[in-house]
Amino acid sequence: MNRGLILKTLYETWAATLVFFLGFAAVEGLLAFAIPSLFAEYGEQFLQLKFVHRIAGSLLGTEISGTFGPDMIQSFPWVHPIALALVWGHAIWFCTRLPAGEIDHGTIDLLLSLPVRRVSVLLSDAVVCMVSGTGLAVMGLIGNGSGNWLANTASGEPMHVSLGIATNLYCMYLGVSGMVYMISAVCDRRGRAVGVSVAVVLASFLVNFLAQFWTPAKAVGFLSVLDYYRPLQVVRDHAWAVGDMILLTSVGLGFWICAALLFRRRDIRTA
Amino acid sequence: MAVVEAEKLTKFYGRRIGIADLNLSLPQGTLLGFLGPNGAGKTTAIRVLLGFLRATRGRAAIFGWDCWRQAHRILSDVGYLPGDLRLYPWLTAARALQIIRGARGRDVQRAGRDLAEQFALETNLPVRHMSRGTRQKLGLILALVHRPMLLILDEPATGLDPLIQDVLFAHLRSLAGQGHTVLFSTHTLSEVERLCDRVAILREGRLVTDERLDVLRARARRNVTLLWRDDADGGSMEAPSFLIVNERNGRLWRGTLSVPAVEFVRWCADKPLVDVSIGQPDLADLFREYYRSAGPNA
Repeated sequence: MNRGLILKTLYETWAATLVFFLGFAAVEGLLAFAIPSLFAEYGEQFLQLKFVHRIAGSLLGTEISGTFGPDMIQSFPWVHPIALALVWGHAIWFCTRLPAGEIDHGTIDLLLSLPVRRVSVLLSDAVVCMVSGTGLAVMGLIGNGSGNWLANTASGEPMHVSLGIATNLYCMYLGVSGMVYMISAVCDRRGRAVGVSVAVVLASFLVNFLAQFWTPAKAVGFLSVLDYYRPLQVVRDHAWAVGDMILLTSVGLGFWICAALLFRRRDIRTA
Repeated sequence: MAVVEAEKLTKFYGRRIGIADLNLSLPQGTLLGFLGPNGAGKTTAIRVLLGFLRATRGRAAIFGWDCWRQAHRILSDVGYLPGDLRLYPWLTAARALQIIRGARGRDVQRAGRDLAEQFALETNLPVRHMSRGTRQKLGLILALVHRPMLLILDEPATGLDPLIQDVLFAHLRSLAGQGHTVLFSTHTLSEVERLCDRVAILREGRLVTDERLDVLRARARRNVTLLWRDDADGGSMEAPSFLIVNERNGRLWRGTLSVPAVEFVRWCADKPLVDVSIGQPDLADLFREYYRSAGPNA
């Protein structure tokens, strides 16, 4: 890890990260504020329709039996596609900067001419990424809490449950970040790295979605990152999904180590 | 111990040759002009030396350290300016100096400010608002600010106005005088003539010559003009083998000389000549021959 490179990453990313922070807090706040009233407006009957149930179950990553309860309403803002898109979007934007983006823009020469090991270059970037991920999860918590407070629908969930969801979200962010770093480590073009990463997370989302009502997809459902991010489970059990979080973090770390090894050994050609 | 040492250094890109069997040894204080046509392998050689590319074969070392495995150690005393310099749009000289201080672990603020003053660079101007030449100045400051023992500069004078070029060349000469080594890659022959004491020429990935500039000068052809006493002398006289006469116009001969001037002067001594002029060695012509074929004698 290198102080100068951390500073460089902060200079480079703070503005866009701030936009992601505010966007994510706003989306969480809006969803937490609007979803309860939406459910109240459309009434129980519509929500009990089978296909609505399935879609909700797909998003929440679990099969829903019985009626919609406040636990599901509480979980929805955390799994809404816009919220997921923002979290994944930040991970993809951030982690494709190095090395793919740097090679693509030709700035890698400046970076690698510093007396820092390549692994340390990647580590310095990853440290800022991890801190940004924490910020994103905290902003989600703040937004969600504010939305609930404004809607006056505080369900009385203990803080540790919300914190459990946010931590699970953070672990998912780490898993996705690690994977994106690995894709970036083998690419010379940022566009290609972004394209492949988006395709992988979309496939992950689709597999998780289809797994709820299509048996072949169910068989490969464990490959989806969303299989290990289930806020509804946390709300229902009032317990942190520690196993899922460990798995997501380990996968992220494993991918990151692969990225570091690939980056260390690869040739850096001119773009 | 040589600062830069390369032995049979080879880099292939698939089947394509980047560099082949490159041998290079730079003692401390050398100012080497690294020349060659486009695609000759200059950038590949530089990237292998900096540890950006892994050599397919051969050995490269700087300060005795392996260029691939110990690149991070080498780079603490190397300054590098890429040929196609790209900088972050948000970067200013002030921010760059902060980053360099953090990355290199030494205070470079004062040296940076001094260099910025010498190169007339505004320290708070972001790269996105800089002209090509101003970006080049910032790149040079980043390469020079830590006073590295080895400077690798790829086309450093590109985009600089003549006054700043003078400042740069004076700075490089002063560094070389203090024992710093400079590897100076360029296409501009006049820059090499002005600055370097040694020249290495690459062609198709191979080193075709690596000599002191004065040796090359002695080998280079010179343009000569001879004025005979009268038209009869000019018309009847036989040219020696080392003088190629390109123009015979009565009393006036114009030609090129392929031997040291002193031999020509000796030949002239007993001839009925009124005037003789000998031009500077034409290095451009010599380099062109190196670029085109295996060498001027091939």
